[in-house]
Amino acid sequence: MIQASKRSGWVVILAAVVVAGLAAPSFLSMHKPDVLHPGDGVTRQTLLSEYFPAIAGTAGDTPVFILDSKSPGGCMLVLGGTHGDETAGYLAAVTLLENAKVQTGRVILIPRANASGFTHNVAQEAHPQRIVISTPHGARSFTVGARYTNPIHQWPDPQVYTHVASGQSLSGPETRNLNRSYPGRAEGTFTERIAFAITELIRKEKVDLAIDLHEAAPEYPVVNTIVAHERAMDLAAMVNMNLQAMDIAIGMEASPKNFHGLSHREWGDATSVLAILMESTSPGQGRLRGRTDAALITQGKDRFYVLASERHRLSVPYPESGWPLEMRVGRHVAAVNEFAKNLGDFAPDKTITMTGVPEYQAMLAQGVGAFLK
Amino acid sequence: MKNKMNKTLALLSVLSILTLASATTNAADAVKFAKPGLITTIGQSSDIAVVKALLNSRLKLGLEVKPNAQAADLAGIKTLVVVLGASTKGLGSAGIDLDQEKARAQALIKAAKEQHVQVLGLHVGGETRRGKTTDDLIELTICDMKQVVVVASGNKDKVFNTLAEKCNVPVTEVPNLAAAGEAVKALFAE
Repeated sequence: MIQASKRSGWVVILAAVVVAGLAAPSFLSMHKPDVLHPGDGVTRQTLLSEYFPAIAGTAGDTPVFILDSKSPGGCMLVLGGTHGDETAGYLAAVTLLENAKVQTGRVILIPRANASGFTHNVAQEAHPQRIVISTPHGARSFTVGARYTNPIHQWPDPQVYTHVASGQSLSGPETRNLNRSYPGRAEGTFTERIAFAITELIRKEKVDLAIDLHEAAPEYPVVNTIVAHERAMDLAAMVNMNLQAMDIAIGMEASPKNFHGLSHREWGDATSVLAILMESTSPGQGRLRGRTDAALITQGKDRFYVLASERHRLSVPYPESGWPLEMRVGRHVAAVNEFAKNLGDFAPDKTITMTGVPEYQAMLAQGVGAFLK
Repeated sequence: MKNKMNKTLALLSVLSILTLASATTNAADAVKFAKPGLITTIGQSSDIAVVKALLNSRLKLGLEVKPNAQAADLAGIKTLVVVLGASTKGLGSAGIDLDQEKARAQALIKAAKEQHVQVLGLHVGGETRRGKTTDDLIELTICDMKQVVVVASGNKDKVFNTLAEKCNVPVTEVPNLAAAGEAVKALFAE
């Protein structure tokens, strides 16, 4: 036992400084964004602050990539990285960024919707800071961030977070959850201003269809699912049917009208966009997982989830082979492609045609890395 | 003795003919559903939207769709297609609770019976669209159905067969959603 004295006090302070000094580079490294390689389909790159200048120069600003065919048609927005620890959503948007070409209409991609969320990990979750994926061009590193905006960008959390537009109350940390902040507020918190910027993008670009890509725990009831605003339900049902024909088992849920702040509710209520949110399943999100490391995120194998599945405790089947990243990213990419393909059936002047999008079976066979630059 | 035997043979022959006629009639009844039809949900899951896309948009069956169908909506309807599957999000979206949904389902099925509307049950949501709430709704309504079509992954435990056997409701198990559509289309075939 250390005896309290000035000397022991200085020893503890010195030890803390050394530990902080050793840890600081690791923490700070997460502030450097991943290198992305926009494909030939990208016709313009801008920042989210173009749509709401108040976030310019802040940690909430983030690259926006526009793929404009210059041919009249619909406009689709795809968000990855609303939650930085939901890797398949982020990488699905990156896959589209680096591969898709648009022949009709426009596609707008925001791979890291909550850029601040990628600058830290949620405390006590033990998530790795990054994963490494092999590609034909070498190994690439992708950040595994946090569900919430970084508390160094928005502090302190209130005891209770009130969604101003609806009066809904949630627990305090939800104030830093981008997907509880829509439609956002120009004069709101840091996170609400990011949400406002995205809603402004939807309005100013006259987006017809907006898709928010997520992952969820295997025990969560809304997983491997399309959640649709009521106006988007018919289109979502058609996409659901088509995905099932591709042997992609996927559910459908209606966006609850009394649960506010989420993209699938507020985008649809605040604008004329068809609002969709999609969930794939990831053991990295769950409470039953074992060792949490990069392999869990990429390979998706976990023996505790297999046991839970055998005991019918999960919302999805969980085989020994797990839910690898290529399956999760592949599902999202296939779904986005189907949404684009079918939009024109519901609004003939809103056709979106894309090429170069990796097929689901090809992604399963070759892995995500095969389609990254 | 000979007379008695002849009478017995004649009686057996008549009984055989009547049984055969009955079986043929039952077989014919089991596979025919007529239009106009109305699709509704029991449990308020969004699977009804998928069924609408499948049966109307893809297969052009032209059935009416009302997620919150009430007894009064059965006027002029010959077949009620019920999409089985519970969803808390769906119930919330519809603004009702489970007890209200159970009451609606029971009233609707009762009205269908009284108005001689045939009920076709569909479960297309697979394994993920099962659970105690859905199973309770199935048990509540299955005996009033004329036929059930279920996608295999939602019937791994054969609960549909187990429940349907108690009241002689035929169950058709299909491998996937597309096959469910084809099965329903065949049931409506002229």
